[in-house]
Amino acid sequence: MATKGKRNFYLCLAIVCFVGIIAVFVIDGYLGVYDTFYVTAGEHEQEIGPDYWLHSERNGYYYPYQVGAEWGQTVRFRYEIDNRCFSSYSTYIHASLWKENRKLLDLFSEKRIIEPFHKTTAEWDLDSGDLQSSGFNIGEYTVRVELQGIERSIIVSYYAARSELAYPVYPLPSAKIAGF
Amino acid sequence: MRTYILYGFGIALCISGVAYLAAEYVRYLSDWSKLVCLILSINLFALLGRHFQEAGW
Repeated sequence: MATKGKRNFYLCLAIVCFVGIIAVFVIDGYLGVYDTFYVTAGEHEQEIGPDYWLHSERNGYYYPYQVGAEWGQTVRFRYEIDNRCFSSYSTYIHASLWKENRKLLDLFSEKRIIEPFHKTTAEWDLDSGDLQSSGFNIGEYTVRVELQGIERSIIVSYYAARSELAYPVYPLPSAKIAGF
Repeated sequence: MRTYILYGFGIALCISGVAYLAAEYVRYLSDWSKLVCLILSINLFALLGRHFQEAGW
């Protein structure tokens, strides 16, 4: 009887260890500093969550996220940083616009101190009018965001504004339908 | 006999679950969590071994 009790005790301890492993994965997955982008181009808001950056790495290279926007539109960026740590997180948020490895302009620069289990949001706009006035044209631009130990890149691809429809529009054969 | 088959099935599921977690998600864990998981895994298999030893396997 005592042997059976001892045997079950070992089994219970093994189950506790298994539950502990699962708990470590859940708690470690929750804790940390997480950043999310909300990019609005035109009428579309795109969310770029922290999972994207985890899965975008291939052979040591981080593939940047790509956003399409019409030339003449303003692209709005909302950057949310979630500090899920027991200590406060202090960082400079620095966003800048780059093209062909050359910095064109600073979009946002500010120091933020985030309390434990709190969030902060930074917002900035990318106006293609500013680029046009500086002599730049339609093409791809990189928005680079740097935090303490984190660097993110988003490529903004500008395309020409459509002045006319890309396909012909024929009038509906309403008379025929009515006659039918 | 049926009980042992169920035990075996449970143990296989448990080990495959741990192996799946290890293969997919260990790289996202912090160093301290990796160490804790390693210690817990060693204990898990040692205790399972002890359990079956006591059972006379």
